Amino acid sequence: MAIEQTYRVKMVKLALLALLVASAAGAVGGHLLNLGPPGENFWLVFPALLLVFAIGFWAVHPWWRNLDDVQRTGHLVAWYWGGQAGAVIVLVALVAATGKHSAYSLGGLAVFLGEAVAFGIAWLIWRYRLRGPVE
Amino acid sequence: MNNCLRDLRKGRGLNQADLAEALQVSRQTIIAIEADKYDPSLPLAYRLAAYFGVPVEELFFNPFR
Repeated sequence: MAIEQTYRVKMVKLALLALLVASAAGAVGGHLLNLGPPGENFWLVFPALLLVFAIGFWAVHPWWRNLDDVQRTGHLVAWYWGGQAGAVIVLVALVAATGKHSAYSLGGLAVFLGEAVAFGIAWLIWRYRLRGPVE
Repeated sequence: MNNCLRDLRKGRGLNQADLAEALQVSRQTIIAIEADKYDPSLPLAYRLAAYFGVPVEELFFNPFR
């Protein structure tokens, strides 16, 4: 039956598109990093990388918008709990293996700091969007 | 949330995949709702009720009443 595969086929196509563009963004990002020594032209490379990865996120958006609410909740739960648990395990392993002041540990902590700040901003936006008349 | 989705679906002679495709959701969604493992959003609850031509409370039993 042709209609039987419609939703699945659509989601697979959107996922493949997202994967393709995100992979291309990763490849372009890697190429940008190879253009010069690390740290050189930071204010050129940093926004360029942000733009490249923003395009990657943009490509994922149609897939995300088309997920039904059960699937979307599954991804949110898995990213929040699974993603955070995985990150904590790796961070703890890095700290245990290299010391708390090593470049690895500090890099991991910087990622966590970025996550925490972005979490707060996203949460505030979420709260703002839910506002309504108080009576 | 307790519901009679499975009975309504079987009454139409549909399997879970058929119903999922008709509503443009995943089969996993239908399975989870039927098994009372996931409470659907209000829009999805209304879509399901509209599909079967019944009021939402006939499909999902109100536990607060």
